Amino acid sequence: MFKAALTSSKQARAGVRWRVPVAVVAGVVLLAIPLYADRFWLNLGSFAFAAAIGAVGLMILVGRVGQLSLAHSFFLAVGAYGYIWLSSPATEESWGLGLPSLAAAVVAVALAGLAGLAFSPLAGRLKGIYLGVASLALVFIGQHVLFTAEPLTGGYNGRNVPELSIGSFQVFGVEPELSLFGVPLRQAERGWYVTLLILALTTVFAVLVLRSRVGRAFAAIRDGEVHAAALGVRVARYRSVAFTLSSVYAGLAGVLLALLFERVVPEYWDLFLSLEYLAMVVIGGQASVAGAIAGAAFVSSLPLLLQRYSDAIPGMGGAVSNFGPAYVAQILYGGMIVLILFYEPKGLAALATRARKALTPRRPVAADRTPAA
Amino acid sequence: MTAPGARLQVSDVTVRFAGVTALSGVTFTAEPGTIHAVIGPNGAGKSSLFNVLSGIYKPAEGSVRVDGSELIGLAPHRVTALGVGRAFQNASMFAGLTVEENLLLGRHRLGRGGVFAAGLRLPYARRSEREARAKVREVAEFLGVDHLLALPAAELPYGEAKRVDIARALATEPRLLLLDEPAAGMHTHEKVEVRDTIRRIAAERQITVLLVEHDMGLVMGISEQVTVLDFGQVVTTGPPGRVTSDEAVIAAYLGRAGAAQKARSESQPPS
Repeated sequence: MFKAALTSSKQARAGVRWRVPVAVVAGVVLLAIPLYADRFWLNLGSFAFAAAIGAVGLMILVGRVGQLSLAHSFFLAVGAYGYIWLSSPATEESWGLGLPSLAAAVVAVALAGLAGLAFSPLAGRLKGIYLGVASLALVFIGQHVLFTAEPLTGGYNGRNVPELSIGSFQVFGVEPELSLFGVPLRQAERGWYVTLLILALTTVFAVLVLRSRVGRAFAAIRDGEVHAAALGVRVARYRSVAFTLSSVYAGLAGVLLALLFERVVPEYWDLFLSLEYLAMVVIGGQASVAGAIAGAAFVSSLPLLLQRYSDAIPGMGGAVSNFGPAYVAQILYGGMIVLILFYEPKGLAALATRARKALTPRRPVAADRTPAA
Repeated sequence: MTAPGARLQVSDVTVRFAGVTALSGVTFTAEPGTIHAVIGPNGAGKSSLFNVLSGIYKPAEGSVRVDGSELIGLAPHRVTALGVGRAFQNASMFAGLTVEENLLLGRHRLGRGGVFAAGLRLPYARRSEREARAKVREVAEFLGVDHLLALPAAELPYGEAKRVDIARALATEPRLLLLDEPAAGMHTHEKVEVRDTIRRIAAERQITVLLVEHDMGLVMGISEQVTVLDFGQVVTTGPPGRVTSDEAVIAAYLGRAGAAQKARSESQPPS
């Protein structure tokens, strides 16, 4: 037992040694990619970064507090349609407030948070799978509203997403012209940098929250709510705090996805989208921030990659359309979830730990003989 | 640094579950700064009593006062705020956290800072966190578990987990400490350590200790007062010497026949 304990504190030290150089290298590579990659890869990345923000939010709720939510797509939709409604000018057949787009984006994220807060009487009292079932109702209500409230959502045909601009600077557009090392920064490049920056900021925020007394209260509720309460943790309050926080992250991801899509249709924000986000969290290892981001990258880019390379994959290309990339992607990550739950419940996060261990030079055996006490 | 121990007054506490009476009119007082034990056979109601005292069960009748403040009806986190700390029977650690984080949870109520303060590293939240870590280290040193702080709690051996559990309860800065079978499942030398630890808590920090324990050697060795429960009722309360010779206590532990036999052997002159 002491030996196991020693090994793990050694692992922790090894982790710290590796973390800084790995982060620096990853950061440089991520910043340099738009200088070399084409539109396809940049769009793939932007979608992955936006999705990762939503996945981190769901991970906090599912992995750290032990709650289940199937309503993540609902809060993504609140962000997306909130932004469209707030920033579009009103016309005869559609509603809009015509706010400046940056203000609209901020208020839309706040709206998603308010929607999460409004659900807190349930989110605070219900536990685990019971909350999952209750949250299902939100998805169905959301879908019904999205299809029927035509002035708000445009109904089946969807609605255009107004551009996000700060003054005359188009955040996801081309004006004014910018370039970096001679490479023009147009839509795709800007999309990559902006979503990456927001992902980085929200990730740091999430990590700081999870390391604080709030994050410890979350984990205590997950590992033993009665004991957490007996130590002075207000269980219901922290459950609803986590739910609200996760809906803010979903709202932000929803705004960014809408801006990247440029036009959104109701059927995108359905139960299946919630399940995709759960898949990201599970594949990532459930309780890891980095894992949730990796899971989001995997789940959101797989269908796009399959689409692009479908001609090169036997049986997928050509006229046989009922075996399309989206369908194959679902089967692939469905299979992956089964494999992960069976063999590596800590998901991609655990694979990274293993790789680090394999790469860390072993210390001499004598180090293991240090007295434990 | 610590507030002096609290007086615990339990009066007429009755707990019923679907027709079964778990506690019936339980009354006793634990004096400030003393070690007070609650003993009794399995099913006597000791755990129910502890759950009432930490706000988990609401009794049908009765009152529990900590230095005069009514505890019944308060949510568990308010009971903690009243100065009641609890160590658990099975020393359950929060398995996904380190030992230090487990101890920091004991400081949760005394800390400051919500989501925004933490995520934006606001100065007052960072100061609160620094203070919490310093206090946790101090409590860990007091109980000799400071070398374990960096370990994942799930890796702790049982005996160490019991000590960390007591440290976590102490980190809440209680005036009344509830210890639920602190020596259960321990070796003889570990029991000696537990006994010394409890004595030091009462002596050096003047915290009132309410102890539920099966090990009679331990209970009789350290308690100033002992309350005996049987079938949810108080059989007697008194100093250990008087309690061990009480007929009703012997009856509760050995059964009526045992008591009758003992009485017979004492009343008959040796032939």
